[in-house]
Amino acid sequence: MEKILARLQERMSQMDCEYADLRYVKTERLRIRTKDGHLDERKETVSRGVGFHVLQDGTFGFSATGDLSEKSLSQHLRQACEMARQFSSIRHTEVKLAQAKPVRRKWTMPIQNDPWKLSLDEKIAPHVAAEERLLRTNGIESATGLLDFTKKTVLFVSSEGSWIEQVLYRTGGWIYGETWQGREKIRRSWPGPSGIFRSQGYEAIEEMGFEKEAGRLAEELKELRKSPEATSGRFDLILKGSILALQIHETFGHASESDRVYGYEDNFGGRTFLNPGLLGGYPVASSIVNLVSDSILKSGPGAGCFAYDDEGIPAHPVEIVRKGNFNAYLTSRETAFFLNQLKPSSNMVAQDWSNFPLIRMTNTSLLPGHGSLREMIAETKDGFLLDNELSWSIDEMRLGFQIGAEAGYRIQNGKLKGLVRFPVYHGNTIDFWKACDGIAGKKEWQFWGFPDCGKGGPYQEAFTGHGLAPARFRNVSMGREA
Amino acid sequence: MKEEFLARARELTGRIRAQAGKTPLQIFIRIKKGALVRFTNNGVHQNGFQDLFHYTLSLPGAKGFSSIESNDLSPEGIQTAITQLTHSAAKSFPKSPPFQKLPRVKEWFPFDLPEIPGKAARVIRKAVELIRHDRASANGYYSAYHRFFYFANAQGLERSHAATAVRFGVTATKGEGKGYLSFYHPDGKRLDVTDIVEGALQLAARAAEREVQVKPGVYECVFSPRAFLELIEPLRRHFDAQLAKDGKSVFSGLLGKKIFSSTLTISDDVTHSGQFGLPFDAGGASKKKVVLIRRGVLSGLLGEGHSTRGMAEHPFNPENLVVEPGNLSLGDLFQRIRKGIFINKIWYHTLVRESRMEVTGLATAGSLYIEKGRIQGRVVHLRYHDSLFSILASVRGATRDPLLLKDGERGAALFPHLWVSRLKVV
Repeated sequence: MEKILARLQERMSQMDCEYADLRYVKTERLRIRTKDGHLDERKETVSRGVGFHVLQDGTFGFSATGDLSEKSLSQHLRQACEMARQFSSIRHTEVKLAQAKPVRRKWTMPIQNDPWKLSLDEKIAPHVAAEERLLRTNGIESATGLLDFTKKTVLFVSSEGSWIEQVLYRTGGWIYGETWQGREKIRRSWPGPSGIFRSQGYEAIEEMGFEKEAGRLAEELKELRKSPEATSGRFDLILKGSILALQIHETFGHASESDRVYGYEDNFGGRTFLNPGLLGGYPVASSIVNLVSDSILKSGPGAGCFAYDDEGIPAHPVEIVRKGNFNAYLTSRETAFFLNQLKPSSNMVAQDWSNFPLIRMTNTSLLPGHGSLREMIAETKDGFLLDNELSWSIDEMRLGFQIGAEAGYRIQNGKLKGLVRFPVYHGNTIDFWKACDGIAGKKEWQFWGFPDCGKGGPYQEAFTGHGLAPARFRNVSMGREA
Repeated sequence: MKEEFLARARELTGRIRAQAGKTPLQIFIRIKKGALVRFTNNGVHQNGFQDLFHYTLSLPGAKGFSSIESNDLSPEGIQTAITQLTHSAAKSFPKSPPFQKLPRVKEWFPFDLPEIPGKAARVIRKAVELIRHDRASANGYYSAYHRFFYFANAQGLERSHAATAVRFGVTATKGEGKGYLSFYHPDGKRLDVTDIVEGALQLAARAAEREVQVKPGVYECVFSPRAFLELIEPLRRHFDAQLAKDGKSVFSGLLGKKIFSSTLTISDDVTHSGQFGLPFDAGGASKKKVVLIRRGVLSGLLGEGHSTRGMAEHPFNPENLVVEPGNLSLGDLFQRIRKGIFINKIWYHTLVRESRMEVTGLATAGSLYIEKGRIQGRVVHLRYHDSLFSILASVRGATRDPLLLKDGERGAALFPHLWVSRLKVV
């Protein structure tokens, strides 16, 4: 295979075009669903193929195939050229690329415990134990779990001389228990309804402590059967875990994707309130808020880690929001050139070989502040602590949002006073982040993340990571938006 | 081309069977070839040609259902797939559904694949010219695919289905107004680019006239077919008969009871003359019509013949929804609105509370305010928060001309515009 790809690289470098690359990708994904302490469904996917991306006459063309014969690959390289040629006379704009240094490197993401080397029973053991623990509690009617393992081998080859081989891992999972009160279903999940996903092996599952957390979930489900519904009004809000990850993701995460500025995502993902005129100093959050895009594994095992993105740009940190001010977009080589940025932000990711790369959040993280969640609660007179999201929506410009949680803890006079059901809060991205007056410190900072961020056409999904510590937002509107 | 797809599928099936020996595999093959192009009023910014060939092998395993999907057609790749699958070796073997003739679904209107880029370029050029001529901005997409589905089980049951799909959609923007219209049909010759683009531009122009501030409250609404399909999405998995029997569906215990407006009839029906999609389910069983809601009464649920196990997240899902049309034109329907909103598209439509089917979301791509039968202007950032039971209990009418919508990889939806008398706007 390598010999064929080397010949294709030679051909791409000699073609009459501005730029060309190919990505050979092999994705192996194993999803295991458990139910009530038993295996319910095991679904494995193996997909490999090559996608060609050619820039000719100022226009990109893309073509992909799973047929790896040299004849087929040559045909699809020509097809990518044909796509570019056909659209060059009606292109959006002349595409020019920011400079990138050619790289030759192999990198394998280090993991401690390879999920593919464990038996099925070994893999599901923590879930079986956690579900059994949940079902031992009176009133809990069902327990369900998911384990999700991905291994992605990517070989990026460009006409500029890059040859980058990477092996990436993503691992995640979740459990939830359900109880009913009349016709009302109450659900509590760990670590969140979409789980946590990380750039790790099976150790990610071990670190999640499913069995231990199942005990807490069981107790909370019991309490929730009797808990009141959350009240409406204005309260201080402390967000932690999955719901804060979602808050970051839906507001600044998507808003900072620069393809939205040019309308590329308008027919699916929407646009952004962050226009280029705001770059370099417009206040969008309180001064303690620092948001960074960073795919380097050393910064933590967020689910968006890699050494190089799908344009061959080395991972490096980019400060999206610095001390509350809008500082930078997530860019591709194309949009970095539009924005007159010397260096793209290394955020181009394709779901697999059959899709062209898009500008994606990888790891978009809220940097830690000081103190602890305990101190934050102690300083809160009248508020709520929320962890897991249940519903969410946000407008096309990424400003007006509403997010609901599975449950919340009432805080009164610095103390947790029991659980409430179905809390919902809403706000405006800028006002909300300007009301952030506390972020816990490094000790409580860790990565959360999602497996299924949707974007593009054809639709693509991507893993995203969000490093965070609990954060407090003052005077937030709770209850249905009105 | 169809014959070539079938020959490839049979050849692969023969090789898999030879390597699998007596393992009673169920084989599902999916082929997809074609392209998607995205554009703005400035022209094309993304395009991609895809050539996909995947096979899924499945078995009920020793402890649960097990499947593996792969596109590695080499002997080594097939052997790896079989070995991985049989790790959770079958104890009970899949039962073959009784042989029944498949409903006839003509969904194959082939075109030359190498012609797609040129065709797409012509379509988009025309669209862009119309948009620029109207001094509007816009974004949209055009796609054209050949698809082929093949099913074979160990008992010798073989099914296949060839399909084509052409889609085109435009969101036009004039000033502050937006309008969205789309086309989907297996026969791409039916696409009238001018009709779609001008329709989207007209909606945008109406929306641009002025902004109407809508106060929170209950409003009459007209849902476009696309918006209505998106609206009822959370109900879809609850039509699973087993889920209902287990008491886990919002329809549990409601079979035969009136739950929605008597104006509303919904079926899962690939046999409908206006429908398209796979005529067999994931187990190879022949699909048949099931009336899910008949004049507001829950009258049917889905079981065998509607399996999506191994293909979709939930084991039984309607894939060919049909809402019975009414007798009004869209103009007639608008005329009957005293104070209401036309909702063209929704997004971030999520469940807040499943047992009550309480949903929230935002209307997007052109919502119009209607008063006394006349469009008054646009409504922006409209958020709703209501129960689907309540909304669907208030359906008052439907237009007479349903629109065909693509619905997932294997199905379609046939929906008219729907008029509801209450939607809670927040």
